[in-house]
Amino acid sequence: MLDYVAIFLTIIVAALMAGGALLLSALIGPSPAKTKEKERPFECGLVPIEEPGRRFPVHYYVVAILFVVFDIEVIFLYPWIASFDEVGLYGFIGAMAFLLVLTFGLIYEWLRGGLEWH
Amino acid sequence: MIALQSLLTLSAVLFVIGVCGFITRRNVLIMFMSVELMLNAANLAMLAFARHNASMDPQVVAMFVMALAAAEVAVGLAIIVAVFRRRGTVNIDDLRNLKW
Amino acid sequence: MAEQIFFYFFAALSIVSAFLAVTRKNPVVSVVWLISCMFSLAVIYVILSAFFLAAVQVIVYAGAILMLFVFVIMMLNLKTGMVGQLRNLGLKFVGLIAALLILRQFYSAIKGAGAMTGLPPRAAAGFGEAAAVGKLLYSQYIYPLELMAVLLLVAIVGALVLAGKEQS
Repeated sequence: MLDYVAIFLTIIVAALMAGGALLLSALIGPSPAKTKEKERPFECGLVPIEEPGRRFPVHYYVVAILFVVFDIEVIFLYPWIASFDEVGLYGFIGAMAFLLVLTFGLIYEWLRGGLEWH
Repeated sequence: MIALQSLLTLSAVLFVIGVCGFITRRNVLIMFMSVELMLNAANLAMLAFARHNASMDPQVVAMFVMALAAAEVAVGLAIIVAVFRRRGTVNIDDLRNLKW
Repeated sequence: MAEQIFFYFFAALSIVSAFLAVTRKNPVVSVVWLISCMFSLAVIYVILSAFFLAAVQVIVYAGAILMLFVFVIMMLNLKTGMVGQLRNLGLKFVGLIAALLILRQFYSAIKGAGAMTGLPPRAAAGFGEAAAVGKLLYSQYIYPLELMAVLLLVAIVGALVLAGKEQS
C-alpha cells in the first residue's frame, strides 16, 4: 500500500502543475475582449463554408476494434508470463490454444482486407 | 479500516445510477455507457468480496467480466455504427421497429 | 487511516462522475466523466489490493473501451442538440421509481448481511498480483479462458461484418 502512495503523490503533483499552469495563465495573462469575429474559426480570412468536424471514415473504427481485442489478448497473456514457472506445461498448452483461436480472427481480418490501407 | 458494507453500498449506488441512466436516457451511446457502469459496479462488489474472503477466484472472474465488456463494446458499437449509417440517428425512440 | 481518506474521496469522486456521465447532454463530456469514474474505481481496486485488476481497469476501460466510445462519437459526428433532449418526463419518473426500488432491495440485502464488518487488515503476500491471477487463470480457469478466446474471435468477426464495409 505504501508503495502506491508515491504514485498518488505523482498524480497530485502532475494535476497541480497542469492545473496551476492553466490557472496562472488565466489569471495573469492578457485577456482580450471576446467578440464574435474572434470566436470564429480562422480560415485564411474566408468565411467558413462547413462545420470543422466531419465524419471519420469507418476504416479507422475497424483498426480500433482490432486494437481493443488484441489489447484484451495481451492482458490475458501477462498473468501467464508472471506465473510461467508455476503453471508449467498445462498453462503453456492453454495459452497456446488461446493464442491459436485468436489467430483465426487475425487471419480472417487479413483475408477480408481489413488491414489494407487504401 | 474500511467496512465491507461501505464498499457494497458504493457498488449498489453505482449500479443504480447505471440503471437510471439506462432507463431515462434515449441516446444509445449513453445507454451503452450506463451498461458499462453497471458491469463496473458488479466488478467492484466482486473485488470487495475477494478481499474480504482472501480468495483470488473473484479477481479472475472480474477479469473475465472486463474482457466480456470489451467484446460487447466492439460488437455493440459496430451495431450502432451500422444502424446510424442506415437510419441516421442514435435516438432509441426512432429505432423502435424491428424491421424497416 | 490514509486508506480510509483515499477510499472515501475516490468513492465520492466515482459517484459524482458516474452521475455526471449519465446526465450530460454532450456524449463526449459523458465519456470524459466516465473515464474519471473508471480511474477512481481503479484507485479503489488498489485499496482492495487487487493490484493487477487495477492496472487492467486502466488499460482496458480507460484505454480501450472508452477510446472506442470517443471514436464512435467522433465518427458519427453527433450534434449536441440532436441527442439527449430533456423530455420524456414520464420515463424519468419510471427511472426514479426503478432506482428507488432497486436501492431498497440493495439496502435490505446489505443490511441482512449482519453487522458492519471491516475488511481483514492485511492481505496475504502476493495477493492480487499478476502471478496470483495467472496461477488460477492458467490452471483452474483454463476452460473459461478458452471460451473467452472464442468470444473474442466472435467479437472480431461480428464487428468486422457489421462495420467493415467500405462505403459511405
